[in-house]
Amino acid sequence: MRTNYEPKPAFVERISILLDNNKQDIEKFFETAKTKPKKSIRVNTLKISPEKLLTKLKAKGWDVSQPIPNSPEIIQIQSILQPGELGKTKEHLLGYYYVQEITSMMPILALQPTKEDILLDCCAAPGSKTTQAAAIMNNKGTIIANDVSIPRIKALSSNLERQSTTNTIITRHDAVTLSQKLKKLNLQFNKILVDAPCSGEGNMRVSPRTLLEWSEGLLRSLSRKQKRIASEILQLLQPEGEMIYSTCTHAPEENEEVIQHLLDNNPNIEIQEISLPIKTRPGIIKWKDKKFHKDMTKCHRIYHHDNDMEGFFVCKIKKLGDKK
Amino acid sequence: MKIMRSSQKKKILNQLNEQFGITKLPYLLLQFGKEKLRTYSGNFSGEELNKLDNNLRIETIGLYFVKQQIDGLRLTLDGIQLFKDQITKNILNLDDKQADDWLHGNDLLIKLDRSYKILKHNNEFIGCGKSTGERITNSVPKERRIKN
Repeated sequence: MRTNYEPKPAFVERISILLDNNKQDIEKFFETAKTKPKKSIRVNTLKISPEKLLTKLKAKGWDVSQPIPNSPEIIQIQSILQPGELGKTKEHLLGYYYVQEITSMMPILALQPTKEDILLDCCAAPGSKTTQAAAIMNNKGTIIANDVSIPRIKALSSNLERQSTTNTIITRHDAVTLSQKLKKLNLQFNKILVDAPCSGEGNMRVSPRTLLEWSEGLLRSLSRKQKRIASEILQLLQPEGEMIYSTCTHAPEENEEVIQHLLDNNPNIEIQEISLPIKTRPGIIKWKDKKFHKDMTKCHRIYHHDNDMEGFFVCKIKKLGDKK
Repeated sequence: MKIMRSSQKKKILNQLNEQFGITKLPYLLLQFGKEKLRTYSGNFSGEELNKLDNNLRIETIGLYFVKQQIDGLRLTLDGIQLFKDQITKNILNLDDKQADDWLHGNDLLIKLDRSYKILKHNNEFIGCGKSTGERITNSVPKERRIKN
């Protein structure tokens, strides 16, 4: 049974500021937080076409839709399913789809990997974005999918197998060590995804406990960790390469502040415009006593009540300079 | 990790051809442990992979697609999907009940010759099992089985 937790006053205050103290908007945010989002899946186009899978799912009596124009692989389940039902089907067993929240698909849609790319997914487990990238790349190019803990690597490995990815290399290092080792090898990437570990404020509809465990201390601690990871990994981006920094949280300390940290310490990068197929709001340029670069508005904030999905943050960074 | 030489790859391909009719293995083959073969379709060369392996903690590369056993090669569930357009031999068509039993992790009580069988149901490949003569031993990994 679902338990809803009351948000802490400091959290309510912060969200209110982020939503420009718009009473209606704030009410909608917290009302939506008490509800579950619709289930969504991503068709594994390495194994089956969206049309064929749709036919199979409809034959089960499921009401399904393709909510994103130009992304037929994204399917939303309108029917109310039993808990765990999505993970118990023959189609799931055979790896025809991956259960993934639509907002969590945005970082890879923003990164647009191609068949020629060498891509680093540095915090890859459990593999939703790695498998999405592998499908877009049609198992060409190469993806180094890294994570740090053995249990997370097991989940990553299992999901990559189920999705039949053949262009991936799974490594197990913390981001700092990985960066140092890859630098020694002189290996650079033209695409990087840093989907950083975060406080998960955007996941509260699925994991209401997030509200219980939330604290401003946690945000500060995660912010330090995210700056360290993003800074180290950015060093592996080749000139003209692109890096996505994303989180499933709203806290500016974990988002714009991390990007500002990168800008402050790397004069050779810039924030890039990206276009996403769902409703987003621009990144902020001021938070409490901190001011951020004006280009921070090119970042995308995704609030759960805007799309009846989950919350996310996505930013694309480009490294400037000539290839040599 | 060991990258298989072309002569070793050819031997594997011949065996896959004999058992299942597979005629092409387009990607690099890698051996992890004694039995597990993986295939990697990316754009790194064998030499580059070895260099990475010597410097990084690599957990896996590519897809685990076949297990080498004393009496033959057993394709994994995902290996079958990878080669489904090439498989022509040792295909066993299952009815609804048999397919359901198989996907739930049960052996199939079917008397056949002793060899590895590719199991098909409604035009979908759903596994590869060893026929002992009396039964087909289930090989669907526990975490992939359908649970009631």
